[in-house]
Amino acid sequence: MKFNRGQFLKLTALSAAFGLGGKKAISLIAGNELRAAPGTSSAPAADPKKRWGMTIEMGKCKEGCNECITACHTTHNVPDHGNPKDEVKWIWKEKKSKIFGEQVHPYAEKNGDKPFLYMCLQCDEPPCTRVCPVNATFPREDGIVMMDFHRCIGCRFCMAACPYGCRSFNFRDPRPAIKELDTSYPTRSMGVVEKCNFCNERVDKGNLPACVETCPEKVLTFGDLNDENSEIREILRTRETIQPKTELGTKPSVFYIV
Amino acid sequence: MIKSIIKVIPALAIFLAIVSIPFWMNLGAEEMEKPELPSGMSECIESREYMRINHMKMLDEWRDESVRKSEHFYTNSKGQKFEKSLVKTCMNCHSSQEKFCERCHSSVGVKNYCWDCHFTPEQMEAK
Repeated sequence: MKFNRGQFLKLTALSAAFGLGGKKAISLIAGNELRAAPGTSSAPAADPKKRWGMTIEMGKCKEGCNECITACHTTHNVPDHGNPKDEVKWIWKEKKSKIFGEQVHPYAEKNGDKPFLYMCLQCDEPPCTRVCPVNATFPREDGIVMMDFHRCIGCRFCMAACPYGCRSFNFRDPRPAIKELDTSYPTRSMGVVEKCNFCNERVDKGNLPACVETCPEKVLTFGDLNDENSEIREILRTRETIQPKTELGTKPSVFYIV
Repeated sequence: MIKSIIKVIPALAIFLAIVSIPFWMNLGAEEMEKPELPSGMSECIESREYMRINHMKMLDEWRDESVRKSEHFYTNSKGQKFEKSLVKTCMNCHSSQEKFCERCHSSVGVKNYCWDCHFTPEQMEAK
């Protein structure tokens, strides 16, 4: 085969010109566009005018009742590995001293360190979403701090950033540790962080979160903090509420009536 | 000159044999089993050709749009509405992961990690 200098230069110039053609030149060979979905998009359900919040009235919460926890953990396929090291939890009971720290004193005796219901507080200024390198956790327009489990790479920066310790990591494969699989909601895989997402899948359909719906004592109230006429705003107006670690500026959307 | 060319020939033959392993290993192998399509249907939510080329991009966009933008419905080119859901929409007609997804994907060596978390129709039936 003869291939002289002149031909080589011509071929090089031609391919360079082709390369400069960019995407147009590529579509000359590849043909169709690389984008799927011709007509899509509908009105998003995450309404930017809304801001979902919750109040927890611990005085009403009965000792020994764990119905909200069971309801949440079964509908979301939260695994139970049976040891605290691998524990995964979305909503659970935590000692008051762990949540409110210095506000617990010995004179309250038995009541002083009562277990409080605890979950992701859905901060308005969430530190976890700021550190996530892949945007797997992000604030939704309606105030829900969301987890995109597809995208989580398991770096656990968010767990380090969360001042409330409300995130869990799947150190093991969760599937074998789920007692009763609910096939209407996916599980997670090993190496992914998870937490309470304020039941985004239910809220988007106009339903209440599973814990709120299940509670027999009406301990939990869920609603739109931006709606002045909502039940939750009425509670926040008339009752005295506290929030943990407000000095950090995280602005949680969960309020405690003590 | 010729001597040195002859010297190279055995090495060249070995090299070609190794490089072509994928081809002759597959000689006489059974043909890939075709994925089972739902009976009584002529078209997916978009045309067959479109779905063949774009199903993975569509699923990728669906998951981003439904999880990240809360856009839960897809309107196809005919104006029909579908929920953006692998399990509820796709697998509603393609009722077997093993006979549909897996047949192509395993033969081309692509592992679908969808099913690490989502339930296959088979698993849902076993429940």
